Amino acid sequence: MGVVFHEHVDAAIAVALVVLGLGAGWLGAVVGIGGGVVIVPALVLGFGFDTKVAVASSLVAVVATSAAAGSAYAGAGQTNMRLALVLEVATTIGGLVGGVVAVLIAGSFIDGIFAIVMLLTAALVFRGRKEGGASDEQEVAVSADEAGAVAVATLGARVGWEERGHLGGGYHDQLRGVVLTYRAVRLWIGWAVSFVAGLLSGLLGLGGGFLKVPAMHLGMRIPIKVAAATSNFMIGVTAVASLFVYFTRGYVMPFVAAPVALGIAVGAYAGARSAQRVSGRTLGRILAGILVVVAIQMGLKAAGIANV
Amino acid sequence: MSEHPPRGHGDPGGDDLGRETERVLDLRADPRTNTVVKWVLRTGLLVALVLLLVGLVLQLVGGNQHAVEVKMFDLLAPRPLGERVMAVGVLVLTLTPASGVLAVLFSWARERDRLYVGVGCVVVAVLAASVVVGLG
Repeated sequence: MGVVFHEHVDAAIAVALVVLGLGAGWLGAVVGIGGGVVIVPALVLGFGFDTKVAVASSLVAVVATSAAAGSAYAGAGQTNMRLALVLEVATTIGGLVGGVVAVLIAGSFIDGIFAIVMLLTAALVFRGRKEGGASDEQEVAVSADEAGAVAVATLGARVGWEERGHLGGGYHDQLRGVVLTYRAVRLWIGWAVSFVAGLLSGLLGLGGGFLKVPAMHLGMRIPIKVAAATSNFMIGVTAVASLFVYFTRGYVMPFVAAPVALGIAVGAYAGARSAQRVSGRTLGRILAGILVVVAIQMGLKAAGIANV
Repeated sequence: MSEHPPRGHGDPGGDDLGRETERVLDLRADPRTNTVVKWVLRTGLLVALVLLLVGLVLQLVGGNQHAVEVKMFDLLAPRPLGERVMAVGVLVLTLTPASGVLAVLFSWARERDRLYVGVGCVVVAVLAASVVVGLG
């Protein structure tokens, strides 16, 4: 069952799409959100594209961002692959369900849910990132010799399922020059939130990192750096679960998705490099304000009151 | 924190500690898997981006102004060259994280880590199911 429709894209629109991707990627990297929450409303309200085409394009962009950031984090050895795949069981199922629901329901429902999630994201972005305090992170060693003995002792402890499955780990904090080990607790929180994150990813074309990182950090007591790195790898895999549904159903428009994905990859790279020099907090507040305004527009569109 | 001065990339002490940590954590965690995944993701992304860029340029040079939807198993249907190249780019991009999962899976299989091979297989099965469900 194919929905045959097409959108007009000329050179000017293609350039505008690249610029949109650049902006979303840069902002995402600096403020610490995925670009999807910017891309989908921009494509729907600004470019007038079909909601499901916008969601599919956003998913392609999310995969590109995740591959770029995920490879950088994996290179730093901070990604906990065991944790990633254990949680991925829940997110991919969520992503698959979200994708199926999305292709079946009307686009205006998606607009409405998107408006609500935008408000939630605005609140989170406004408050800024919370770091530290929650994890069982232990500074175990300052020298290589110590690292050996303590890491083995700590990692060898076995208590619950989380420990039996070796969901904890350790990493070398380059900034502080120390080795940190951590344990994982309350796997069920991670699973529950990951499922919801996957659902929203499939339904709305978001990465869902804004849910997964707090779930891992605050819920499972994973250090924030490991949570962010692991979430980044996971986002791409989750997006693929729903993107497969959109792609096989025919909602992917390469002419729309390609410029956005190209822009976001470059934008995210530039954003990651300029993150230290820019005040993420101020930008976050501005973005929160914009998100609220656009969420209202998106809500109005969903209600059929205004077709912007 | 003050008694441990920050160490940068170039500092041999930091690197030694990093390597030692990797060796120790190798018992449980998987730095080797991390490295393999890094290269899988990086290569896939790079190939995909080149295809997307080349396709986009071809499409614009060809003066085609229609964006149409392309189905995953419909890539061979007649369509403008630029669009086809971009569609293959999207496909490569889509397969990149999935390949990352497969790389992790193989790495665990080599270590005979049955529990995690099982976990990885479930994830791959869900991904395969999403293709089947989309087609259905």
